[in-house]
Amino acid sequence: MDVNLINPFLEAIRDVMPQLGFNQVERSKLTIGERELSGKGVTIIVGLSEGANGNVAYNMTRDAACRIASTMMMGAPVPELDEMAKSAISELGNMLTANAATQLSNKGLSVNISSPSLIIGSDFRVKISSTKYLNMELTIDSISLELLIAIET
Amino acid sequence: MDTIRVLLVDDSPFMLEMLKAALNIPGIEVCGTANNGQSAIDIYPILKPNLVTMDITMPDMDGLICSENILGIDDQARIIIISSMLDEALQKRGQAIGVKAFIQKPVNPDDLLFAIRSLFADQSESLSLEYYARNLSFALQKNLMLMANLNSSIDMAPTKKFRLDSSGIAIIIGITGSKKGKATLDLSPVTAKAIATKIFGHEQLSEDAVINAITEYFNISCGHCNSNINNSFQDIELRLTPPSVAIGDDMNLPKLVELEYEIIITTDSGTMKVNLELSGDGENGC
Repeated sequence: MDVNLINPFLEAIRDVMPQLGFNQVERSKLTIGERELSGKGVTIIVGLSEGANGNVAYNMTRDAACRIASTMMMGAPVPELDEMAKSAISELGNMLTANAATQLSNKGLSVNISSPSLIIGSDFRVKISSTKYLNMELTIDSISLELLIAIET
Repeated sequence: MDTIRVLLVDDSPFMLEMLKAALNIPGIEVCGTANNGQSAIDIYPILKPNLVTMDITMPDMDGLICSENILGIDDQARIIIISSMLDEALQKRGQAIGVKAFIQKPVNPDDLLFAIRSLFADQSESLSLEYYARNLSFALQKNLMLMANLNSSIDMAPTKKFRLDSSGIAIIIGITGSKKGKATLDLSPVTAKAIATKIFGHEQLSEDAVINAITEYFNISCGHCNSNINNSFQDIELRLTPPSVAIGDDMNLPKLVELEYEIIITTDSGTMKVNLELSGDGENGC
């Protein structure tokens, strides 16, 4: 996978998260995953097509999802993942991926994205690629978020 | 939609009977038959059918000449060429005259009905979620027959449920292009195994092989659906994103938009569900 395809996704997080009320985005581990990833509780998947093909997933615990949704909703308490919180989290996946897609398009790689899918559960695994994917671990204001990218041009 | 009245033109009594049988469904009425080109031209202004099926090789004239004559009488005439010979040159000639659809003999009734639906859809309907769902249902059913030799029945309706409780395997394919959306096929591992067994013709299948087979089935069906829609609407171009698959004993997929369609596919090998979401303009997804 081309590193030039990865950076726009990281840039998107750095660009979008502060607009949603988050202060700090830290990148920690970067690993290559094969086959399936293990769902932490809440996973958002967005598909890409045209200039780049593939899927991007955002993987987090239920608690992390609640905390992110809470910040997105101006600090309103989100004790559980209700309809509004689910909507906020899926919109986050949409915004981040659309932002990355726009950056890719600016680099001459016209990309379209699908609607986000949200998967919630206590026991599931997700396959976003038939081969490999990149797993970037991020910490956003002490909340852990996994960014998983499997795209090819 | 009102009943579609069809005039069948073919010199073979056998073909006329086959076509009558294929079109013996609610919403379609065979209003007349003609066994040569001149009778078709004579009878067209009297019957004023909504649709003509046209053979090519007839004793008195070529089906394309006949079509040209009919289009001379009524430039809005909808004509489907049904011919044993169907090459690109013939299609080009037909399109130049104004023929809208072509089907090769022997006629698969599903293909014929689909061509008819598409012909009438592009005038009376815009690409709605319901239209997409109908096309996808058709492709799912057809490919289940082609790939697994499985008969199925389809139930399709807007879903009121606020989430899809997964039966164990959820295959997600994104829709991009002129519209933005996604389709999710959900089924149990037992159903997946049973259908994959039908596809492969044997039971010695790993979980991967099962999931790959079902994923491919879904991908092909969505691909066919998109191609058909792209062909039916001049201003629509839909694309698919690569499938992703979620597998688990406890997972659900919340409904994120107001309106989703649910397609339930029932077979002897089990039941599958497809949830479909499609929204307005997909341009760049922003």
